[in-house]
Amino acid sequence: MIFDSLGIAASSLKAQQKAMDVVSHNIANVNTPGYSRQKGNISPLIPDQVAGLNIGRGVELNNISRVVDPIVNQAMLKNGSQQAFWQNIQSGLNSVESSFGSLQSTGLSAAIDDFFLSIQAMANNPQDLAQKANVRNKSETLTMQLSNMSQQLQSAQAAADAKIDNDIQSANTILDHIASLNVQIKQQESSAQGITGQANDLRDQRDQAIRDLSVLIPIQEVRTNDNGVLLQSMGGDLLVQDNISNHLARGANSQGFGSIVLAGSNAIVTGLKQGGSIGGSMTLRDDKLGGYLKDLDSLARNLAFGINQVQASGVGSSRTSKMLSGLGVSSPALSVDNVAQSNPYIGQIQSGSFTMHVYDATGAVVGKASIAITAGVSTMASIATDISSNVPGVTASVDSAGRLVIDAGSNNMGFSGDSSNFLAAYQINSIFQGASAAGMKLSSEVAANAGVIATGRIDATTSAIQTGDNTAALAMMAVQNTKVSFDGSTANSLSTRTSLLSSNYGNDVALAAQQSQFHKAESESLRQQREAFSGVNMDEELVTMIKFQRAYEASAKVIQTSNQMMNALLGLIR
Amino acid sequence: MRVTHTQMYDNLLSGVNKQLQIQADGTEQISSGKRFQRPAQAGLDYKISLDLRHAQSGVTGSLTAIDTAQSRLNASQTLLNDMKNILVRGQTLAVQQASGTLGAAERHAAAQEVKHLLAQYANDANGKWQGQSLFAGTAVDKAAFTSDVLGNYSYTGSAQDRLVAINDTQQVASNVRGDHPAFLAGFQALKSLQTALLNNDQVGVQTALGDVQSAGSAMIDLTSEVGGRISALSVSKTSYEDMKFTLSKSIESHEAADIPAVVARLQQASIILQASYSQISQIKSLSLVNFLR
Repeated sequence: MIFDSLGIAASSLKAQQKAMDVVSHNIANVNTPGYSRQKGNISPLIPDQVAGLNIGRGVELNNISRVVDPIVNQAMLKNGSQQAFWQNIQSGLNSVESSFGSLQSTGLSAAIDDFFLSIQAMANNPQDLAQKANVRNKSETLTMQLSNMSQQLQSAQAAADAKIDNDIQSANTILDHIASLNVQIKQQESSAQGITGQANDLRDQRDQAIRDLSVLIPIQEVRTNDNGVLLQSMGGDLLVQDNISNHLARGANSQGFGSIVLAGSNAIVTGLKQGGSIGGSMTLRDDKLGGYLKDLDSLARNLAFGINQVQASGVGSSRTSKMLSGLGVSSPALSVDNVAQSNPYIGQIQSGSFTMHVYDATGAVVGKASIAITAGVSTMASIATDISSNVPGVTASVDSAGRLVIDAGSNNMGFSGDSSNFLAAYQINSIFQGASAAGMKLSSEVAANAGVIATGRIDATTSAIQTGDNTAALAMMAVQNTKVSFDGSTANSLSTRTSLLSSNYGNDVALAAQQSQFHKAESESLRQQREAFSGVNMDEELVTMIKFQRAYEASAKVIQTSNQMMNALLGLIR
Repeated sequence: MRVTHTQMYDNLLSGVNKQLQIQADGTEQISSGKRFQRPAQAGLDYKISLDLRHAQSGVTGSLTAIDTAQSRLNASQTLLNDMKNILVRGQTLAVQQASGTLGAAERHAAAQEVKHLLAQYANDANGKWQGQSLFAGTAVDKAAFTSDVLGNYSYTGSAQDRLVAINDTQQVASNVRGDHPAFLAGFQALKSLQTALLNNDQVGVQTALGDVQSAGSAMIDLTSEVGGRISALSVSKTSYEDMKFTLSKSIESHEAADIPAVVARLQQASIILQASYSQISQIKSLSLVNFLR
């Protein structure tokens, strides 16, 4: 029986020592991300039955389990994905903040107000060339503001796209890591014959890797019966199964940027915009920045067409002898209003006419002619022919870029009464040129001579021009607060479009900040919950360590006592 | 619930970050005096600011336009007053020369004065302000009146008024056009008076007296009308100045930071920060490790 005591004490020494190892492992990993505290489960050995008595045989450490809460883990997965999504949008939006100006310098809004103030001053002093020069300066400032803003937004789009590339690489690395962990876990748990424990640390690593992946892309996790994990995108595309991982890659262009596909396939991965850093970058790039760019382009087009429409039928204190249209026809054989023409203003062209007036160098009238435009019929070439044939002393042609070139030789020319909108649509006798915010610039005629900025209108009958006539300038002034849409967008005034652009941006930032903050708070709460359940408490571990230490000491004492008992017994024999 | 040291450190760190953010925001508000600066800080409020500034910019433009119109009308009124005085002098001369006691010599002498009056009248009618004809309508680079070989004046300006845009919906004429009947009536009355005096035509002088009187009345009416327009512009200007003041106040109250509240918030954040730092230091010593020696 004394030998039994020795055996029992020996089992205790062994069990306490192993339990101490678990405590030591916990303390060592107190700061390891994703580590779940482990617990050594000690249980008595199966007792012996001797003479109807169950006599205990000692103790053993029968397994080591990790303390995890799957519900919290799942919640962390989803929240991490959403947090990364909104954080990415928020930081991306913050990076373009300077484009939208501040109260100290309201940027585009101030540029538009200043432009129209200069038009008002010009309208009130139409004969004053200095006022026209001021309008030209303000126009230039405005086009630069539009162009800079557009370029900054496009750069931010490109940066978001580059970040997607980086995130794809990170996601692929994690996918490989998870597939590798699947294999390792399977091997460890099946080779541990006779031991019911799990590959705790590897499972922790896999859980952490899955959480890291969900920060990049939104995923669905399915646990398989053979200790494996199957991961798929929110749209059901398989990402990891057992030891197989499907990489993400860039595919064909979508909205100007490469789409995201599964490597080796052209199938676009679906559901990416539901969360994760990549989804955030895509939403930022396509919906947010893309939306602002669309609004900015629309603002630029409506401004350009609204002002050019007045300018086209107006006249300034100077006239030019040669003109080149700002936009050309992409398909010369088709009519100027054909939808195939790459011109955003063709929808405004209708059947009508405009009159060209020709003056000599002294300002005396040389002649005039009306040029008819027939919707669906008139081509750029036919218009050029009409001008050359009918307008005295003027020749017109179409250059290689499809642009109309009008040359009055030593004379100069003016336009009036364009009821067809052809002149404004193709930016002939215009102030602004370009079809987007990025490409907006002053027309070469205005850039060279501010005097050509229209303030009045030519008398259609006599071709007379009154220096103090400000009817055109007044019409330009009205463009600012008139609700218009020349490009199919919702009709709005230019000032409303500008303030909406800023407020939409502000509201997007507010939403992203609010969502980011909410998910951050939720993340902190979940981390606290996980820490409370799975975290290592040093005090707790130290107390447990003392318990095992004392049990170890007591078991050693049992061996010492048993030894003394053996000595006493042997002493009887000697 | 189990509590670990990591939880406590995380909590404290999160709190410290929040308080530091409050410090950063508060400092920005105090240094700028504004409760927000960028659209990212307050989207809708920023839009309201832009709308208010847009309205303010419009009011500034309106005030400048009113000043332009007023200056033109004031210059016009000065010249019209002068023309009215010329007609009054013509009337005085006509009354004197209508007397039967005067002879050809006196009337010839008076005709010389009327000739000068007529020239001065024409000079006023072709008056310029800042190098532009005041009474020629939009033909500001041309003389409003020219005379033929017989010395008869006719209007050569445009039939279009010089409109000044107070805003994009309100326009006012900033000029008096020379084709107003009062101008020509004055020319004709002075011319007929001059002719009658040169011809020593007493009846003609008496007839011209009536014409000069009537032209003078028309000129007085026109001058009064211009005065009325100037007054109306002054009223409008006062209204816009009030609007400008109101908008400035609105912008100020909309954007201004509540400094006492910000300072109180900063003070509170400062106390919380100090307590958090102290607590971080204290937790460090509250560990079983420190007692297991």
